[in-house]
Amino acid sequence: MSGLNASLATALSGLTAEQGALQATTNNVANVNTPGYSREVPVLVASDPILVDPLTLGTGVTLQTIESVRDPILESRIQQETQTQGQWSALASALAQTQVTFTGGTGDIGTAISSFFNSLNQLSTSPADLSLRQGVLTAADNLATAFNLASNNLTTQRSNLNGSVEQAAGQINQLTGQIAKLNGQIADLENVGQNAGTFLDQRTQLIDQLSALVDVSVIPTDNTLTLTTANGTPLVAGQQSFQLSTQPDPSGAQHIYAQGRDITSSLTSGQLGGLLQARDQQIPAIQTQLDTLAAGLANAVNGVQTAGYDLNGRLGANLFTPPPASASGAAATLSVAITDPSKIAASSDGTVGNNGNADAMYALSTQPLIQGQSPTGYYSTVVFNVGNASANANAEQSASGLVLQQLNDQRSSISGVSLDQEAANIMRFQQAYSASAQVISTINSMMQTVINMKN
Amino acid sequence: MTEPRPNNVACPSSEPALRTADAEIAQARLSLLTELEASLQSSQHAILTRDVIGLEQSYGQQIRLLRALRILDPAQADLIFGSELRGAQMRILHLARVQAALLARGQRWLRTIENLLAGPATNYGPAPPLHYQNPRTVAEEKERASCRD
Repeated sequence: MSGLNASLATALSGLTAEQGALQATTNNVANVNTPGYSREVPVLVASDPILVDPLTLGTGVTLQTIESVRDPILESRIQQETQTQGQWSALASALAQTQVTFTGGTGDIGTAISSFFNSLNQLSTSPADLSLRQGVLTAADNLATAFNLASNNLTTQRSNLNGSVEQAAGQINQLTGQIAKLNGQIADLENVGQNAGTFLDQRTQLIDQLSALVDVSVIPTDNTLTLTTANGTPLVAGQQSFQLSTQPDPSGAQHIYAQGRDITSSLTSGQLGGLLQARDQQIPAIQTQLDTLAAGLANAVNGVQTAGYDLNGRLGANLFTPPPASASGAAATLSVAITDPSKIAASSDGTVGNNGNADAMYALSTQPLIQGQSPTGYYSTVVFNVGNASANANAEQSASGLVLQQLNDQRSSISGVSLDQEAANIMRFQQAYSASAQVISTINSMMQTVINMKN
Repeated sequence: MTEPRPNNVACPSSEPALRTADAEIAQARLSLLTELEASLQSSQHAILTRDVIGLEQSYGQQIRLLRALRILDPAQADLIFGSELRGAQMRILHLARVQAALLARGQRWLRTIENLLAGPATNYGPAPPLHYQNPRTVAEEKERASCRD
């Protein structure tokens, strides 16, 4: 095929290709503000040439495909950092709530410990004074209440985190279902050689959202994707999604199950990882420290109290209810065992005016009772640990935010729409279109000449 | 004979002068902390953009600022600009933690690159001798030598 008709076909291919290229550019401009949209570029290739001895003649241009511009490695990094941010964000939020329990105030444990020992110090100045004895009982009661409140706050927080775990599992199921559906749509389009850019963008956005919730590994397979958790538990395989479920353990903590297997301990990243870390590691550790402090303090005070004599000359009874031997739950159950102020054993020899035992109880305030530290010293360590963990979580969250910002900027520079560039492209394609049209017009004129020659 | 005045108690006549000196120290300390804060922010940016030269410059500046801060006695300064200094210290502490977190991420990224560069065909045998040359280069050399001949 050669001659004017062939030239006409070649020019026509140019018109069609440039039209398609303009369509892609127009779509880019229209989506300039669409979140997650990746710009499209037309891929133009020269059509197969034909041999007309002794010449090889070109046959125009073909718009092979319209490609979305993506950087898979960058997207993978964004997903990883999103997981990290989700984890630290959940942990920072949980620890901020925990910190409130340990913020200095009238009802906090540190103040209650100081008040209790101050009341004992005052009692030692006048050991027979019933009002001062009542003051000790009130301070002891306040101390027990402060421990109970702090422990209950932590328990309530763990229970709230349980609810968040269930909610996160539900969101994960919803997202994996949507991703599996998109996998099907993408495969259908790509199998017939069509551009699935829009669906790919939607899937990328959903994977980003999923990454914020759980640690996801993305494994690309033919025209589709497989998503697993970091330890390999499948979440999505092609068009099938695998639902997560939650079940409470005997303590009431919700565990995450995938296909009948408990995967709770393997989830370390994403919001779910952060929630589990706060619920199963951070808060229980703080609770254990509180129990240790409560048990150590109660045992020490009881030890001195039972070695002295009360106002009636009888051997002292426990001031606090004895904590469990393992100390577990001591903070939550700590209470004052006596209500009669005369039963405080201030005397060390049984005489009414003796203050030896009150002094000995007061001296406990500076003794290394708990893991080599005084009660206030140990409590300060607990508060420091909580504050430090919270500050670290906040710093990690900020660092993730900065890294994500940087990566998203990079993604925008690669996949984002630049209006300047698109404007230049429009002019380029428009000029090419006009040139092709001009060629057609010229061929038409040439054909007219040929027709006129015949007449 | 009068008793010598203890070292930590200033003469009444010199108290205003000392207060002025303390205020100057406090002001200097605060401005150093502000400078350190800005330097930490710029080093964070350098880490994020993998700007090694910028990072080196920031570190040099931070070391210089820390030395200067150590020289200035914080005790008096803390009394004068207490809340402002504490605020600056807290912000610097946060920025330092963020910087540590960013460096840890950078280190992880470097490890990934290192593993990528190592490739799947990592040789577990003994390290090649120092005079080792790529066989292809040797072949090229031979070819060149034969051409010269």
